Amino acid sequence: MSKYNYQIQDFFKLNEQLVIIQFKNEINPIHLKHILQVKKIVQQLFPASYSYNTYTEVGVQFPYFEDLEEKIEVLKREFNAEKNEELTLELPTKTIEIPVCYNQDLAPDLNLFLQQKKMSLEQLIQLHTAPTYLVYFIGFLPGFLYLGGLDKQLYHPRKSTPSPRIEAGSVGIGYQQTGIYPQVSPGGWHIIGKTPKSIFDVHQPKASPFQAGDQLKFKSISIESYKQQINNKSNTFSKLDE
Amino acid sequence: MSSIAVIKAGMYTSFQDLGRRNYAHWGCPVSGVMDEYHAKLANTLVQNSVEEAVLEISLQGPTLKFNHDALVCVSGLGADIFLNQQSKKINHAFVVQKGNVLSLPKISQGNRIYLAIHGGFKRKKKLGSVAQFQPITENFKLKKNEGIQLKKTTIEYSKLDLNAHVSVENEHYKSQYLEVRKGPDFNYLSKKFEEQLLNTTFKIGKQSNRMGIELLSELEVKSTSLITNITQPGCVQLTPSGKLIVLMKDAQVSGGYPRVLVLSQRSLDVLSQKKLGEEIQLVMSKN
Repeated sequence: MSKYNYQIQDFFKLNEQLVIIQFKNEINPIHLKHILQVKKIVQQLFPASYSYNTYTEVGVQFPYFEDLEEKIEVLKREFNAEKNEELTLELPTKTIEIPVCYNQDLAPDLNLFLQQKKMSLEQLIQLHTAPTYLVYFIGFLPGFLYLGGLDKQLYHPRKSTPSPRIEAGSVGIGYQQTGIYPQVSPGGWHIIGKTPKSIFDVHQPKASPFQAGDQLKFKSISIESYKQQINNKSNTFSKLDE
Repeated sequence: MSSIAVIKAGMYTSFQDLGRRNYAHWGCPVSGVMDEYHAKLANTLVQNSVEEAVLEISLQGPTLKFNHDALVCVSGLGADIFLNQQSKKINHAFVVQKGNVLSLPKISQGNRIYLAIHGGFKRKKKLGSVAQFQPITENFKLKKNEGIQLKKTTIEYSKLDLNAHVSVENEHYKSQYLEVRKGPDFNYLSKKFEEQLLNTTFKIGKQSNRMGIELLSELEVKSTSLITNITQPGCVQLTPSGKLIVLMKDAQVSGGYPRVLVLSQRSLDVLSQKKLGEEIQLVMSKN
């Protein structure tokens, strides 16, 4: 058992400005709730700090010239398990719908993927659009979502040789993960669809519509609808719970 | 009309500042100057705040024509600096007059130099910083024929020190020893490898850029991927093929390779000036 609440394992001073709060080393939706709750408490404790998370860590960045050892002591006291208080894990979540066109013309790996998985297009669409995916965090590239919830039947090893160029908006599967390429980049995932939406755009008031803890649903659209939405270039996202 | 016309952009010249600190939650790297010491020095010598943007210049520098007077400073370890045909000293402020051409054809020591101009460059901040990084900014480097706008279009000659300079304390850039501390995944290393790591001479590898610097050695070690977690400039990753990569300013905000060591900013400043093939050694910090 950890001596801290919320499954915190340890506090690590990475440099003069950043403390990493380390959680149990396991990808799990329950841990994300703990992580987001801790992030919220840290923000209340240190309003001048900035914090963000990955699967099992919260980074807390302080302004220059702070005594981080002292901050770590404050954190240790705050999350001391002996306080044994009720853990509140209510999180405001929103579900954002992402339209995806599953069509070989837009998704170069689609047919090969179906062949290798011995699956029909309808089955793939059904399996990929059914789950409500959880946004664990955004990392790797600006706007890239780390999503949890892919159906096991769609697990597929990454390509042995990455493609040199994957278009922005491409939706792919790589081993146990699915995700959307926010901009043109090389990549080793199998591209099975494409969204007409831009999921990272600094010209929008919010460059990414997502934050850690949000939920995502993929919705299958026709190629006609894809083309129409590309032309409109509207950047409003449907939120399913509004 | 722009303040400065870019006649030649140079090989890799980019606007940088102290970086985009609070956008890791959207996957945005910190970016900003690789060698903070010299960038801050350039700004200080032209009486700017250290937060002002500078031009970071690598390999072969730009040729810039000034359309009004300006007080400038180029800082770094060593470079050829010409104002029209006249040679100028590095780490010294000097006045550029209207119509003058400043050219920086060669970096003679280290990898990068910094150009600061009194009053600063007029650039739109994107997500809190002017640091060039695609797709946050439109381009990742300065382009030929681009117009550069300055915040101040005149010099208050009577109020400024027009020849500010310091005898620069950059002796530590000559040392081959870089101070490191244990990284979050240090325990991943075996005791034996831990010792080897601190007794090995590394060479700066070819795969080195603003994202990361590769340290090559004869050490034989394998690693595996871990759960994707926080990475920051300074983290030293051990890749599955056994290479060490020091993450630099444009590095990804998350990664799955063990973060075995961490370099301080002071060590990153020095490392950013080490050339391909140069040798370094890692020493564990005492505090």
